[in-house]
Amino acid sequence: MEWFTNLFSKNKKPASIAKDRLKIVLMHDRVNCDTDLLEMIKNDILMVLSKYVDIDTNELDIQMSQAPGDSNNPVPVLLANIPIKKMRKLNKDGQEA
Amino acid sequence: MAKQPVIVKGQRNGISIMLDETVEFTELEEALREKLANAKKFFDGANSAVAFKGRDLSETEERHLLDIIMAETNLRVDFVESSGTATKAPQHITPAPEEPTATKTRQNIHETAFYNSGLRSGQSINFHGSVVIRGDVNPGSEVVADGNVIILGALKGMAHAGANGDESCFVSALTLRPTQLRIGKLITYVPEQNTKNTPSYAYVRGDEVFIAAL
Amino acid sequence: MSEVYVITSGKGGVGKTTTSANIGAGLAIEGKRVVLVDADIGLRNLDVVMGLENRIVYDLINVIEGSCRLKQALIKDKRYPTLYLLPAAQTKDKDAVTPEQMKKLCEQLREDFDYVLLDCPAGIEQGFKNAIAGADKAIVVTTPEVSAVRDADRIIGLLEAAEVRDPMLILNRIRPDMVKRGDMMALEDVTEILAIDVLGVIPDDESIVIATNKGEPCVADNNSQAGRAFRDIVKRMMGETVPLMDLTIESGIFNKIKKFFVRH
Repeated sequence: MEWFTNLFSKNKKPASIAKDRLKIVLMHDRVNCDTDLLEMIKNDILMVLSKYVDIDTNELDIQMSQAPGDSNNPVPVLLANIPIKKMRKLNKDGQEA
Repeated sequence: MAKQPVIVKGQRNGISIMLDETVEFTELEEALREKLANAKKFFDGANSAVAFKGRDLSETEERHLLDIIMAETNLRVDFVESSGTATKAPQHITPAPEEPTATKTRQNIHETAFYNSGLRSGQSINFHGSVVIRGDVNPGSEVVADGNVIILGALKGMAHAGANGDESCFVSALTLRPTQLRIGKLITYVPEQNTKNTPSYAYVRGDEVFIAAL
Repeated sequence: MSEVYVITSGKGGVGKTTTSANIGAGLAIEGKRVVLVDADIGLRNLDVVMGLENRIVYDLINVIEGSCRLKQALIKDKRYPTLYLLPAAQTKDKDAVTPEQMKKLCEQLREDFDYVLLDCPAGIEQGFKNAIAGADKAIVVTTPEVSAVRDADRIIGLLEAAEVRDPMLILNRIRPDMVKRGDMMALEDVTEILAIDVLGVIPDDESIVIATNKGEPCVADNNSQAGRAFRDIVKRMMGETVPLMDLTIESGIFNKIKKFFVRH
């Protein structure tokens, strides 16, 4: 019955955990997405966003991950969790009121 | 009476020879020769360390004095200490004769380097004289000496004595299990069953390397 | 029509040297003239795995420096008369060799041998660059572990960049029982990720440890499962089509499922 439980079990087996982890690690490696690059992306995003909103930089989380649901053909996605403290009030020229 | 230029004293771990630093070296040589000739019996056949004191000697001077000792006595000098030798390395020793017979003459003196630690894989010693190592010579390491190789520890790596072709040189170790052994131009390895856990030395007779217990 | 292979992995300890020794011996059993080159300068091991450590007089560095002739440095194997070893220097540094010198050496060896097998050091630094410089083809050894597969991926990328053709995979130390339980990645998991051709799968086998301890390759051992796997690899290298070994011991439904997957 092992194969049966394998198929339907919700807890993943060590082998498939290993495989999933590998895919994510290799995705980073292959796009050569090192921490420097991620940091640069983060800074640019922040620069743009902070024109419009006030961001809580302490709780900020930006990382490379895998598109959920398609473990056979992983697509890299950039996950960003950016908590907003408050919206900035802007006038028509884009300047803060 | 004038101060004696040479004073020979027996000490617990050898003899010490006090040399006057004010007189000419030739005078010293003469005085030493005379002293030793008188005391020939006293030194007969003993192995000993010799310490020169009271005067800085050049290497040639030291060798001259050693030659006098060898000529005048049957003393076998194992170790020579000059004043200030603490900073002077390598020191001189004479190789111990392989078979202690009275007629055997002394071999040429090799300069000797003393190493106070063993060798690990990848490390090597290459020296133009003899080498003394206090420690093990591990597999993957090499000792190459133009003179003798004396290992106060286990030999498990490669040792080469007489690297410039002198087959009168020997390799000795407390445990002799070399990966490979070379003496002069001969290259050999020691079959497992012939390796010794007792202090042994390897030497050349004819075209073969022999191993004997020390 | 001699071939120069580099056997590489990125990660250390996955079995490059054991693989090199066994493939070398296997090709020699088939009557091929083979030279194994230990390219791991400063950390040589192939000599010990082959049981030839006490015969080394000259090494690769001596040859490259010109202090001996190539033929003087080649050590003839004790068991297989067409197998030779060119040992690495143990007391030198990897930087003592340049890729150009290795290339020249491989060209020289090519004249006298059918197969030149370069046992590459772990890592991706100078030693790796030297080892791949003279190679036509590459064999990438890995184990079914995240770290080893990741390094293999990196190595494959570097091989492609260096234009070493068609890297082929050997998956070493597979434990069929663990794969079956889902505790270890299977060959298909690894090939799916690395996307290269498979040259062979070697089961985790006690006989390898025993053979290595004795300084003998296990490829000639008919009782060794790993030995059989190496013989299959050798045949594939010589152009034969040999199906991948069925590593499952049990019969029944598990086996059928596994076979189904292997075919895909």
